Amino acid sequence: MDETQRAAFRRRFAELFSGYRAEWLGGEIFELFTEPSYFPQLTTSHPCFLVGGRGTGKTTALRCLSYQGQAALRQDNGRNGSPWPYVGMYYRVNTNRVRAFAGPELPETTWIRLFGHYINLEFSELVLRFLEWYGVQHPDAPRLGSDSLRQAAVTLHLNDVSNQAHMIRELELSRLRFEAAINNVADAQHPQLSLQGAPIDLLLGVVKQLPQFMHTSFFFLVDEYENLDPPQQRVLNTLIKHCGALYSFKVSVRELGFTQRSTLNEHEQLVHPADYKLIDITDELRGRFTHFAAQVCNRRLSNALEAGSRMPDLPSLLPELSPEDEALRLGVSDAVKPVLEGLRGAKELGAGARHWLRTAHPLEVFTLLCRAQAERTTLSAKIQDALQNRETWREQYDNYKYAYLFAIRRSKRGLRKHFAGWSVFCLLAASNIRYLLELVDQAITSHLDSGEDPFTPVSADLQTRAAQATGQKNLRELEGLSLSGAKLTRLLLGLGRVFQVMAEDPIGHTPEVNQFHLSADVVEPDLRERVSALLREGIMHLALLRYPGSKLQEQGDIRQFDYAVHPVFAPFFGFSYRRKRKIEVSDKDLWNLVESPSDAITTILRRQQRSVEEDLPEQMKLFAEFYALPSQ
Amino acid sequence: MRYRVNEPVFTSLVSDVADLRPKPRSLYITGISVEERSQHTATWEASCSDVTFARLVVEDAATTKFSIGQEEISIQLRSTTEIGQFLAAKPYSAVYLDITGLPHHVWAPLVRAIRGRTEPAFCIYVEPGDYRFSKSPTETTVFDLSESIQGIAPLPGFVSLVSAGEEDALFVPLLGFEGARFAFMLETVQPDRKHICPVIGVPGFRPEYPFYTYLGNRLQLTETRAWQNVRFAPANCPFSVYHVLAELSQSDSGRRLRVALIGTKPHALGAVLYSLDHPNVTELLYDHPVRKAKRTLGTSRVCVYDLSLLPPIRPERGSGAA
Repeated sequence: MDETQRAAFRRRFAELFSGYRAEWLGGEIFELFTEPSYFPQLTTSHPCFLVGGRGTGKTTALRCLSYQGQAALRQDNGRNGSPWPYVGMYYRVNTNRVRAFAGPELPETTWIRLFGHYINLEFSELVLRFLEWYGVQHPDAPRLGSDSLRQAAVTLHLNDVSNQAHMIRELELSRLRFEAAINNVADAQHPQLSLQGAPIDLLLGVVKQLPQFMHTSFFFLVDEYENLDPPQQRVLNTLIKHCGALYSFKVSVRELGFTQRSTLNEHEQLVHPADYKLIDITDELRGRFTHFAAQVCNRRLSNALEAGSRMPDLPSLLPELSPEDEALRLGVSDAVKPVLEGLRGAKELGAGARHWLRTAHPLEVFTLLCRAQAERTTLSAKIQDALQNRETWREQYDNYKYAYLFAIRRSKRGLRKHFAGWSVFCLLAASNIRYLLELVDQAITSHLDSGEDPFTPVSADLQTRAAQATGQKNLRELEGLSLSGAKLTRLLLGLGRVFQVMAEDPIGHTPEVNQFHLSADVVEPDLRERVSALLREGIMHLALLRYPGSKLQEQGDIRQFDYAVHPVFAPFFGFSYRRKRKIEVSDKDLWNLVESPSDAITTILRRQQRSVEEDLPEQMKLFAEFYALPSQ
Repeated sequence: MRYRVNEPVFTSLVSDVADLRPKPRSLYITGISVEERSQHTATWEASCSDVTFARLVVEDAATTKFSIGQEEISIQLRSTTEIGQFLAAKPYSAVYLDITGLPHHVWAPLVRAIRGRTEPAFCIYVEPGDYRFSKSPTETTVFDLSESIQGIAPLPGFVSLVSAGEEDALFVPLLGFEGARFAFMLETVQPDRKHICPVIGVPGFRPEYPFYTYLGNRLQLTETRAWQNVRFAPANCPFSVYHVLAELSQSDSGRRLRVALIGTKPHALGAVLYSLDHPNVTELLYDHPVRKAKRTLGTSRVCVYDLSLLPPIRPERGSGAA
């Protein structure tokens, strides 16, 4: 690759891999689409709720399900005469609009009716816009007759209409009148309202009588359902519950964003699986994410290359380190050297033990040393014990060696632990394709920036720094992601420091602690509520992950959850990304991490018999002032 | 710097707040906030006994209460009728709306009503002496300005339900110092990154302020590459922002604009004025921050914006006329 080609590749690569948000890809979203394993489930006529965190590909899936997406994916722009099995109409819930349908000026029941009318206007327009588009692609296809359109127009209280284009214009005018009424809602001049769902039923009823759509399923693709407030969710739920055979819904929602299961009839619930199918992206991709992610990345890589270029498999550019290799890079040989020298003349060790020490991997010796300290025995005794019980030792070595990697460069300058390898990056991303793309983008871009050949493997150091940078970037972004962004950032900085100190000081402690659960005692209900709200926000915005806990609470079948800092932050703080063990924290501990982090970190660490005097790792020094903040 | 011959600016500057004198028999609407500069009327109002002062007493998202002398008047912010009655209670010679200490959701519907009236109308804005620096500055937080945000919701009277052209809309954040607010807007609005056109206040209230704006928003400007599309308008000039928005919309045959009000109040005023004149192609976005106490220090110049010199407003959406 010459310099010009290299620069072009660099530019194109950055464009494709830094475009990890669906809205940044523009028209390329369809070209780059890799069908996830759950996609066929979305194409059935049953309503579906697609649940996943930010960046898990919900919007991309819905956009590709839309008629615009399908036309692009079929590569015929919809002109092929074969009937469409389904037509998806994409609708993103716009917070700035739906928030207008609330306030003390009117009772909730009236707001619900107004919002129901608004949804009728929106969805009717979606149908008409599709028909308009289809008419352009198929000028000879039968169209809705004026009688059918008039019927639909009457249900929306529109003026008389003669054709589709006319009805769209009338709909726009009606929307403007409605907007004026909402802007002056306290003046109590309410417009005529339509009946919940009636115009949509009527419109799609006549559309389905057209020969080209007789066997077509119509889907409303509702993105960002979590932006609806609870009464508005009930309006949508009612439509979903009663959508029947004419149309269906495919709804994307963030974890914990589906707050209402009831319809407008408080005794009626949306029930899974009778009324809808729940597709949890994380569950669906479990075990398949590595393969899916490789497909996504390779597709983008191939788009970044000139046609006919030799294309490497992207995962092969991100080699992994074995614990033993990593230990050598971290300087384990230097760490064990004085010990080995000290033992050279130890009379209590036999020839066999000396030979074993000479040939054993330095990480094994280091682990032996750490275990001797943990078990409060001498190294000689531990060596003899290991030699006598080789299988037990092998098991112990395998269990502890990863955790002890964090101790090799404890409190030292520079990289203290590596995070490298395709499979490691996939685990850091935790089924989140946006995070994975960010990690790959950072790694390959820094590789290119350092003058390396694009198709040679990225070094472990560069991969680690890329992973740290990705964690840091997402940590900084957290403040702007949610209403509680500043609190979430503080919570994460606090938890990150706790787990980082614990990771670097593993000797004599439970290894790889990186989760927490809340103590069952609710001392202050108000505090529990605040903490629960913060944890909910943390999960919705992927600061935290939660897992069903091992215990069942006494009341009902509500399970207690274990929480973990999202693994994408692990390289930045420097603790294990592997889901392992947990500590118990109180509501007060968590809240104090936000309010007075320095004190709270000290308290939690003392309880874990750790000292907070450890130096901050290099990459965390940016936040040194935060960790030094006095109590508020 | 943006001052052009064909783009009139109707601003007069008063260098000392004590020199401000409203017209006799006028109405002066004001509110005292957590900021020292909002209390400037105390220095001169004794010499204006023939001016009616309407002071904000209390407000929430939907209503506001003003006191005029001993009387208290409650107004629903989503009622053209009630706001109109408040402004027409007496035949005032002019209306002054001092936006310095009033929250956006209170002054914006008042501007809407004032623009539809015939008496001379002015908006007043007092620049701060300085902003308070954060004790623990981060890349996105140089100054200590907002406690939190309450989330994106339309300003009363400014909801836009028109969705046509939304996909290709141009996102125009009027940037301030707080990168976190820009980030929140980006996360919520999710604009196509090729369609982001930020506006930065140049010149700022002080020469160094534009650099703080870049610093505070650096991450978002870099990630979205929107730094390439930045436009400039003086931080204290609503009319310049109006002209920038007009230029942006017209440059692409009436493209729809989604304007985020996360910068200075004069910039927000410019966007409100533009939205009133172009309701079908403008959507205002506001995140309702909770201001920190003592976020600014002292007072600086007073800006007087003469709204009556603007062309008469067309029948506007919010008034009920479609």
